[in-house]
Amino acid sequence: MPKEQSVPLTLLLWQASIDMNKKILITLVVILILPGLYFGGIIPISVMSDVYSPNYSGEELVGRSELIAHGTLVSSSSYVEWYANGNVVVPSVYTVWTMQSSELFKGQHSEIIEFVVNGGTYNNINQKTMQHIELNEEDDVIVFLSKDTDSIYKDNYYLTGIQSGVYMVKDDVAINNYTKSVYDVDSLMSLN
Amino acid sequence: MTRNTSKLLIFTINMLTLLFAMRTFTVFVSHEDTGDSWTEFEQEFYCDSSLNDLNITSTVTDDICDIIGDSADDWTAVENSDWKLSESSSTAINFKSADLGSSGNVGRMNHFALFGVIITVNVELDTNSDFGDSTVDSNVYDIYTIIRHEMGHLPIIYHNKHTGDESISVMRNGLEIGQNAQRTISTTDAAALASKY
Repeated sequence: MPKEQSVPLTLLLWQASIDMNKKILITLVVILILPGLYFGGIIPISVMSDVYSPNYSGEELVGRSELIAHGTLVSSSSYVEWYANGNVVVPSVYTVWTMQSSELFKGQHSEIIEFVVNGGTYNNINQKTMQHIELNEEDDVIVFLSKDTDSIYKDNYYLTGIQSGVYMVKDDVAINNYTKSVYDVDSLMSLN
Repeated sequence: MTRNTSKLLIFTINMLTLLFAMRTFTVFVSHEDTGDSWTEFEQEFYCDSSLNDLNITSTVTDDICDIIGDSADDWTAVENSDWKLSESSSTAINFKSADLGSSGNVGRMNHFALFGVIITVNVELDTNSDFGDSTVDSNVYDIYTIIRHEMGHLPIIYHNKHTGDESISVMRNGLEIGQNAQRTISTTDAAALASKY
């Protein structure tokens, strides 16, 4: 008895495409599913960013920031924006951090403060920055925030000087892990 | 439902399962190095007309696209590397301007990859910042250094840290306003490029 031979998949697809109804089916699969995979969160996409941002001193941070607050990071969530780069539509991921404010040093009082940083993971899109700002829930931080509605951050607060604008607080000492600046919390706030 | 249609559906389901698996892998793999790479070592860059919106002081007499072209030539000239950059008249690796926030970034580069293959890159310079030649003006960001630096990231070269020649390296991390220009492709930078392309 002859051994049954398996039919190559390409041949199966070819046979399917001979029939007009199946042609339409294949076309629909391509038209509907592929963009869905791309924009809908299945095809793995990675974005790597490098930024040039100034290393602001404490005085510069105070002078430039609209809002300066001390508090605890509570949660984060990410969103994606799509934009055209030449002929390709590409994503940019932003992460919004929510902070429970305990002290306000400058700006309008609010117990809950939100600010956005570039990068993060949203569904299938993973955007990393070479100057990664390590933030975690329950971090005790002082943040220096700016807002420019015409900028890429739109109506969101962003960190003044990006990496310069966040200090980790421990035992009343504020440290910026990126610029390596260290201040007593009181002396940092006295610059205001 | 015919046998062929069933096979087609099974094939589609299998592909979706595979893509889900790859997505999970991508999300949880390293946070330091994407492992992304180009499939070709000859790439083209494009000068977007929005570069005319940049604040470039009169200390710079060169056209911005000429500066980008000279930087591309410098990286192309690195010995023992096949990496080549040339100018394109249509969109490619895009150099353009953007409002990155008046107290935010001076410039940024994004490379975008699918399944680890780099598809496109954009380099954006901030419309709020003052660029110029920092060797003669201490109130500007050195445009020559920034362009060369971001161009160094195109072949996925990372920052030059603790290698001994980082102080003269164009790939040194960070640049202050008015800081002495660091326009040199150092030995370490060149070796990093040669090791990749």
